Amino acid sequence: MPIFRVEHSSHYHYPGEVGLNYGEARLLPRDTPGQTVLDRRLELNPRVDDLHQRDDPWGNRVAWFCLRQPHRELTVTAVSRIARRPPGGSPGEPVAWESVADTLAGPAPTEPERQGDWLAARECRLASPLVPLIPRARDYVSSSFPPDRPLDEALADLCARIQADYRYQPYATGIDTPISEVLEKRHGVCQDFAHLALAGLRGLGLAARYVSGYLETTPPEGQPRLEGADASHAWIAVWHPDGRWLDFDPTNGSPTGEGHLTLAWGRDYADVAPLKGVIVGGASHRLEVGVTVTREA
Amino acid sequence: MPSSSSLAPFPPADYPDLPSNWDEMWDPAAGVRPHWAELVSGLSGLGARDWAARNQRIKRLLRENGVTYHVYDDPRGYSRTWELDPLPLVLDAAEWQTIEAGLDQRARLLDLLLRDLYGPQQALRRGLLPPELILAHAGYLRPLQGALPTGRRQLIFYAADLVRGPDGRVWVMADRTQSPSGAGYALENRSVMARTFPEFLEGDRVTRLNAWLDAVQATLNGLAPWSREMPQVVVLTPGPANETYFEHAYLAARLGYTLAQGDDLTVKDGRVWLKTVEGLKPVDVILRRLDEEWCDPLELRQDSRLGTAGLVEAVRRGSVALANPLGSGLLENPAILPFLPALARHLLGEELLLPTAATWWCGQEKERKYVLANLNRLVIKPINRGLSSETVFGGDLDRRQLAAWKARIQAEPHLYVGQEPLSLSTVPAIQAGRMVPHRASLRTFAVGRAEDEGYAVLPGGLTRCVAGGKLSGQSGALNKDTWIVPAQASQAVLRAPPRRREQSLLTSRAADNLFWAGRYLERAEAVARLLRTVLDGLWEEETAPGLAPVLTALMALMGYAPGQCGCGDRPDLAACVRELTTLGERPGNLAQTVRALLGCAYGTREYWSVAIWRLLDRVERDWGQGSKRPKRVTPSQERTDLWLGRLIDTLAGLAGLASETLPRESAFRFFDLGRRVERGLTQATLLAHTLDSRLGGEAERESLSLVLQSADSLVTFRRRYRTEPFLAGVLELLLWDGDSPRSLLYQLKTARRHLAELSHASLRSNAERLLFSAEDRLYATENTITDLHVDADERLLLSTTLGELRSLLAGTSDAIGHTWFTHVQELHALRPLPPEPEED
Repeated sequence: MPIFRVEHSSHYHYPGEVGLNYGEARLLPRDTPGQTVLDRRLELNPRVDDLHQRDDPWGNRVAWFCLRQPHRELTVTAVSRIARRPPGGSPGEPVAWESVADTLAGPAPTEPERQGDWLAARECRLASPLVPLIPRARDYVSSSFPPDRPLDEALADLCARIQADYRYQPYATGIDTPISEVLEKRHGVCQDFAHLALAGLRGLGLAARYVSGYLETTPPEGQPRLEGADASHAWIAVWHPDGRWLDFDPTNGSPTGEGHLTLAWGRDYADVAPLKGVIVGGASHRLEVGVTVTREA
Repeated sequence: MPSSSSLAPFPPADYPDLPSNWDEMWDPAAGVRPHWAELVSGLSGLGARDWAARNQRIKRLLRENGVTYHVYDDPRGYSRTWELDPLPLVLDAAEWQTIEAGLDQRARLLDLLLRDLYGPQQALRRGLLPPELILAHAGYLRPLQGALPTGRRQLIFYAADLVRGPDGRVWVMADRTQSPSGAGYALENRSVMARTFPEFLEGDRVTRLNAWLDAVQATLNGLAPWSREMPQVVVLTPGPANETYFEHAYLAARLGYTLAQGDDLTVKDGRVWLKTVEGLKPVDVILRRLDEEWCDPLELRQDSRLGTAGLVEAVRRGSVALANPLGSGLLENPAILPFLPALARHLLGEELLLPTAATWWCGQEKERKYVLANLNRLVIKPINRGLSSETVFGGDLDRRQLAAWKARIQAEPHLYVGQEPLSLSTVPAIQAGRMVPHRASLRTFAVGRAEDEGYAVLPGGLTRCVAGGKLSGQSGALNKDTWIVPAQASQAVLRAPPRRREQSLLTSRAADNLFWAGRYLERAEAVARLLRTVLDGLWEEETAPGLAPVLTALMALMGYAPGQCGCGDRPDLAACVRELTTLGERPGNLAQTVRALLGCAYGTREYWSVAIWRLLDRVERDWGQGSKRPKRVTPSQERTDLWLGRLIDTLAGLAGLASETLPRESAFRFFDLGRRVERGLTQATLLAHTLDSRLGGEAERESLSLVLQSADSLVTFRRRYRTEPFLAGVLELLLWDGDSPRSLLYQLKTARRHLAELSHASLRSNAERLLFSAEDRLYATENTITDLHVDADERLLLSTTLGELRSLLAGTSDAIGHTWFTHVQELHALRPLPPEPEED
C-alpha cells in the first residue's frame, strides 16, 4: 500500500498592510474508499487569531480562519500523509448508461443508509455555478454514449476523446472561463476539461461531480525531482447504481490511478476552491503556490 | 380634489357593481356589509370641510414622520412619501380568527420545513419534495446546511399576501419568509389613522396593534444564544439607499435596538461585535433586514459590500441568532406550494386551512405538459426571486411571446411554475376625490413565539390596492390601514413582558454621520450667509471693493483657489460671483453641501425628531433633485435671495431643534462637535481673509460690516460698541469673546468640553490635545492688539495664527475620526499620540 506525502503551500503578498483577513481553506484531504488519510495539518504564518475546522455537507474538511493583526504576507501550508489502496477489486456487472440515468431519475431508495448518497447524486445531475448545461457540451459528450453502452466503457471513451481533441495549455484560461469558450478554443487545463465533461454528462441525465486533488508526477529521465513542481489537479467522478463513484481523468484520458490523491469534491470548482478569503485594508495580492507530492513507500 | 366634496352619500350612487366580483364593503344584494356599517355611517356624517381637513392631515403626518418608500434610481431623489388612502380595509373579527389560525398553521409548517431542509432533509429523502425543487433553488444556501441550531424555532418572521376570490374565500397568493417587510409601515399607517380619525379608533372599536411589537421584542430577546438580562439586539440594514430603510429605522427606534449596517459589525473570536464609540460590544441577536445572500462576502456573495465577513461562521458556532435566519428565502419558492397540503399532513398531521392558488411545477412531466398547454391563461413565475423575469401573465402575451416562453420553460423546466390567476376583490379607495373600487391584497405578519405557543399574528396588516388592472409590481399601489372589528383582545399581549426603554448603543457609523451632519449643516449655513452677503453687496455697486475679502473667503470655503473659480484669466468680480452663486451642483458648492447634509441625516434618521424631519423635508424639497430652485442666477435676482433666505432660516431652525431634542448623550456631542469644528474653521477663514486684505478706510468698514453680517453678529456689535464696525472690535467679538456663541474661542471651548465627556476617564484623546494647543495659541494673541489701531505686524501675526488654528482644527477633525469612527485596527492598535505641543 503506497504512502504519499503532500505539501501544498500558498504564499500571499499584499502591497499594503492588511488589517483583517478572513479565509476558508479546503486543503486537508479526506478519506475515500480508495485512500486513508494518516495525518493532515494546516500551518498558517503569521499565526491566526481564530482557526476552526469542520466537515462541509460533502464531507470535505474545511478550515475557517481569521487574522486580525496587521500583516503584509500570509502563508498557508497543508501537509498530509495518505495511504492509497491500489484500484482493483471486481469491476461488477457492466450497466448500460441509460439505465443508470433511469435509476437516478426514479424514486429515492427505501434504505435510509443509501438515501444520502442518492440525494448527493441527484444534486450532481443539476447545473451548478460553473457548469451550465449547454447543449453543445451534451452533443460533444453524447457521441461516446451510444445506446446500451456500459457506463464505464463510455466514460473511458469520452476521456480519451477529450485528451485527443483538446490541448493542455496552462495560463490560457482562468477559474471562470466558461465552458463554451473551452469548446470553442479547444484548449484549457484540467479544471476546464472536468467542467466540460460534467456539463455533458449531466446533460445526459447522469450524476457527475468535480474532484480536486493531486497527481504524482514522475520527473523527466535523469533529472532530480523539483520541489513544488507539482500542482493541484482535477478530474470527475460519475455515480454508479451499486453505490460507487467512478473516477475518470479527462486531462489524461483515462481512469484515475494509484497516483491520483483526492482532496475534496463538489458540484464544480467553486464548491472546493482550495483557498478563498476576504481582506480589509489591502487592495490586491500576489500569490505563489507550490505543491510537492512524494512517495514515501 | 377630495377637498371639494364630502363623502356623503357613502357609498356614492355611482359606486359600481362589477360583475362576478366581491367587493369588501358593498354587497349588491344587501348593501353595506355589517362590519363596515359603523365606519360608513360615521364617514357619511362628516362635512366636506372636515373630510378635506382630515385628508390633509394624513398627508401632513406622513410627510412629517418621514414615512418614505425609496425607489432605486428614482429621479425624484432619495425618498418618496408613502401614500395612504383615508379609507381602511375593514375585516370581520370572526372571519379574521379563521385567517389568523390559517396563518399560524402555515408559519408552523414552513418553520418545520425550514429546519428539515437545512438539517436532516427527510422531506427530500422520503420523496415529500422532489430534490431538484430545493437543490436547484438560488435560495438554498449550502454554507448554512447543518448550521442552524436544532430543536428550536427558526422561522421567526412570516408574512403572507392574501387575496379574496369572487366567492368570498380568502387565498394565500405568496409566502414571505426571507426578510418580510411592511409591518413597520402597517404600524405607522395605524398611528396616522388614529390621529386622523380618533372617533373610530379610540377605545375598543378596532383591534389594537400595539401588543404585536411587544411579542416581537419578547421573541427577539428570547433568541439570544446565552441568556442575558439585556441581550444586545441590532437591526441589520443595507443602509439609507434601501427602499424600506424607513421601516428599518422605525423598528430600531420603536424597539430600542441599534440600527447597524454590515460594516458596523465585525466577527472576532467566533462572535459578532458591534463597533461603537465605546469600543466593541458583543451582539446576541440580529434582526436581519439585509437580504441573506449579501450578508457574508466570505461564504455567500463575494461581491457584497453590505455584509460582514465571518457572519456565517458565527452562526455555525451558535454565538449569534438571526431573525430570519440565513437561508429562509428558500421557502418563498412557489414550486413548494403544490406540495404543502401533503407536507402539512405529514409534518403536522393537519389539513391545510388556507387555500393557495393552484400551482404546477414544471419540473414534473405531467404538470409541465399542463402548464405548456394552458400557458395563455396561467401566471408564469420563476422559482427564484430576482431573475430577470418577473411574474408574467400568460393572457398578456402574443403568439410570438408565448412561443418564446414555452422554449424557455422547456429548456429549464424545473425553474418555472404555472399558477392559476387569482381574482382580487375590490375595496373602495379615494381617487381624485371620488370613491372608486380598487383591487386589493393584504400582507399579513406573524412572529414566532416559543415553540408550544405558535405565532402571534398582527391583527390587521398592510393593504395595498390599485385602480383596475392587476396588482403585480408595487409601483403605483395605494396603501391602506386594515381594521379588524369588533375589537378583539390580542393574544400577544398576554405573555409579553413590559417593554423597557433601552438605551441603544451609538455605532461608530452613526457617530460619524452625526459629526458630519453637524459639519455640513454649519458649512451650508455659513456659505449661504456669505452668498447672500455677496449678493446684497453687489446690489449696491459702490461697495464692491469691500466685498473682495468676503468673496475670497467664500471661495476658500468652497475649495476654490483664487482665480480658479472658472471666470478665466482676467479676474472679474461679477463673473466670479456668478460662478460661485450657481445653485446647480458643483463640487464643494452650496447645493452639494446641502445634499451631503441630507445624506448624513438619512443615515441617522432614528435620531431625529418629527419636527426636525419636517425641516429636513423642506430642505429636500427645495434642494433635492427635481426641485424648482433656479440653477443659474444673476446677482440681482431677487428670487435667489429668497431661496437663500429660506435655506438659512431652515438650517438655523434645524440647528436649534437638534440642540433642543437630541438627548444630551454622545449622539448630541458628536453632532455639536461637528458644528463647532466647522464654525471654528469658517470663522478663522473669514477673519484671515479680512486681515490679509489690508483695505483700510471706508472699504474696510464696509468689509467688516459684511463680515459681521455673514456671522450674524452685526446687531451684537452695534449694541456693544455703538459705532461703525472697526477691526479691533470685530476681532475682539469674533475671536476672543468666550461668551459669544459666534467667537472662535467659544467653538474651541465647547468642542473641548464635548471631547472631555466622550473620552475615557483617564485617557485624554488626541483630538482634545489638539484643541488644547489651539486654545493656547488663541490666548497667546489676545493681547496683541494694544490699541484700537491694528498695524501691519499685528495683522501678519494674527493671520499666521489663524492659519495655524485652521490646521489644528482640521487635525482635530481627523483625530476624532481615528479615535471613534474607524475600527479597522481596533481600539488597542490606535496610532501613537502626537508629540506634546512644543511651547511650554
